[in-house]
Amino acid sequence: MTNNKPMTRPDLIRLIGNVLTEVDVLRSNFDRETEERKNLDNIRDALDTYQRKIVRNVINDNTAKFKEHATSLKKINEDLRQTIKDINKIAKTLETLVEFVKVVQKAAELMP
Amino acid sequence: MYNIVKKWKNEKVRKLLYLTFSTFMLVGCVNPAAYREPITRFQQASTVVIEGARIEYGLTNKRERDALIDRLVAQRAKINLNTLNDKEMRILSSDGLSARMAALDALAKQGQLLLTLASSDAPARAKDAANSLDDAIVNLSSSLGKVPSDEFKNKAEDFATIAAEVTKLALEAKINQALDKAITLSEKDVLALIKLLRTDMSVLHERRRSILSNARVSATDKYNEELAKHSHNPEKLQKAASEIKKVEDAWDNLPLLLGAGPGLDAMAQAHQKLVDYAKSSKNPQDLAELVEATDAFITRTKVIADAIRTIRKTEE
Repeated sequence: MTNNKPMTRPDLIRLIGNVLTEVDVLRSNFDRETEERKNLDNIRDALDTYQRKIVRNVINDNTAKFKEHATSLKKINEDLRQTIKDINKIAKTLETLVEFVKVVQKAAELMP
Repeated sequence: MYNIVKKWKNEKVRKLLYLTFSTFMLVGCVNPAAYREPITRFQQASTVVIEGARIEYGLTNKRERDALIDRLVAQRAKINLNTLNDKEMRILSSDGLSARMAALDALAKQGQLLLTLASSDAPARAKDAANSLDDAIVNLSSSLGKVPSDEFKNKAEDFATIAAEVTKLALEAKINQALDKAITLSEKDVLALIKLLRTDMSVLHERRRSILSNARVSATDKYNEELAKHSHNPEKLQKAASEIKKVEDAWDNLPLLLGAGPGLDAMAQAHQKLVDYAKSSKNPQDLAELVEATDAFITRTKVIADAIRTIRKTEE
């Protein structure tokens, strides 16, 4: 997906899926009782729920609101790329992921 | 000019012209039986695609339910029937599922009618194909009545409306009008509907990816937790390692398991070829191209059928 192409509903679903799989790789580095893992598990659950909702329901990807959220998600995703593969930057990654989930939630709320 | 008229009157020349004209007619027209092969092939390949989509749609809810159970097990949480019955945990309602199946069936029947209308024995054979499509539309309209309004419903209703007009014309033996309408329907509504079902398939694939990705973590967790125990059980460790291998195999095979998605791409392409043929002068060359296209469709669906079998084996 190029940055200039407007994001569609399937693109959003795919983007959430890409982040989910990276969160899973990161999660597997931590024991389940650790604070980091618990936070990542919660983020995973939230993204999974929103992805399922967006797959299940129709969302109008032509609205200004959707486009606004899509632009934010692209930007946050770029930030996420800078840290997510580095386990030592987990604090920053968690911060960015929380931001990502918030915007995904806003996009999901556009569903009728 | 006088010479030409004089020659025209000549019996021999007239015979020669008649023979030449007849030869052109014979070369230009195709034996009606020749159309049956692409029709049959289109039918066969469409059946594979529909079956693939049926499996994909059918497995979607099962996959979500199993993922929910796995998640609750991993969380050591209680499992009760209210949680399992939660509609939010499903991707498609049973009515939504039926409507999609009915749409696929009607799409395949529309392709068959289009091809029959384009063949030279259409007046004799169009009735059966029209009746078959008519049944499929009745079924589709009934299914659509039970689903909430959305893009799929709107597109499927547009398709059903025009398809009903095509069947009416075909049943009234207005072959040319029916053919024109069927071409318009194919170019606009059929391809739009196939595209929509294709999007369905691609987003369902994303759900499969997310669920499998979670399963990878659960599998490694099990192994690592057993390993972390003071006196770990070698058998349990081995079992956990085997589970990791199984999940990793499925993960590696994921790009190959695109299910009915590519089948719908092939169906859209084959449908486009049917339209091209219907709009052509229908000479033997056009028919040869159509046969080639339906052959390609059937070849692609064979590959897809293998992938579908693998999906079935893995997930059922």
